[in-house]
Amino acid sequence: MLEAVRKALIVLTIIVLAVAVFGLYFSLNAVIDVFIGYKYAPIYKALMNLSVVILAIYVLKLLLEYEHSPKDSESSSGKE
Amino acid sequence: MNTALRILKALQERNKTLSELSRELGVTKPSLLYHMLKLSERGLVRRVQNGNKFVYYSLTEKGKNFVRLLVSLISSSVLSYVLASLSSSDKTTEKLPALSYMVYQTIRNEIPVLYNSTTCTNYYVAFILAFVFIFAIVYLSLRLIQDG
Repeated sequence: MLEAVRKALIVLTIIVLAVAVFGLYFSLNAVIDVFIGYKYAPIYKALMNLSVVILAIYVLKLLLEYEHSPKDSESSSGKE
Repeated sequence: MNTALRILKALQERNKTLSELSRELGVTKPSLLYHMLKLSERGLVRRVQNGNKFVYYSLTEKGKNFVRLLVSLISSSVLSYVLASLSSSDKTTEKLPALSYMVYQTIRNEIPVLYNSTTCTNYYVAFILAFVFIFAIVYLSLRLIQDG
């Protein structure tokens, strides 16, 4: 029962986080539209999107490394 | 540039001996030793001896992170300053629709305090946005490249 509640809370937190990230992304777009001149707004938007892409690649790399590290140790212990 | 920073930058390429660093940076060995001691006390640099007589110095993980952070901070500050200066300049109003341009000119001429505060706010917001984005790009790219 406790485990189910824990999993539900994790899912809820991930949903809240996803909503907040979407909100932040669109708010930043709005901030750029309001404060940056029309000529330079695309540069700022490109920079923002590029930073999001690089952040996503970095997080993906961390997740893949985390996914591979326990398996390696398991396989090495299995051989022994 | 500060000698300690130059040492960190030189060690970023590869591990080096004291003689190599002395030749490269044009700093005497006693001075280098003093800086190395200070840097290793802070956990940024460590001595490496691979079984031979040569003693190499290398950056620790903390040192590598420090250099990355420093490079990112400096480059993003400079780039965001340039970008913010460009984007908050008067040129942005050249092609405004006629009515908006009239309002803009009226505010600029009649209420200079409001105009100045608006352009200042625009500049600061542009600088902060550019700084955050460029810092994230440079820092994360360096981490991705150097971590392999």
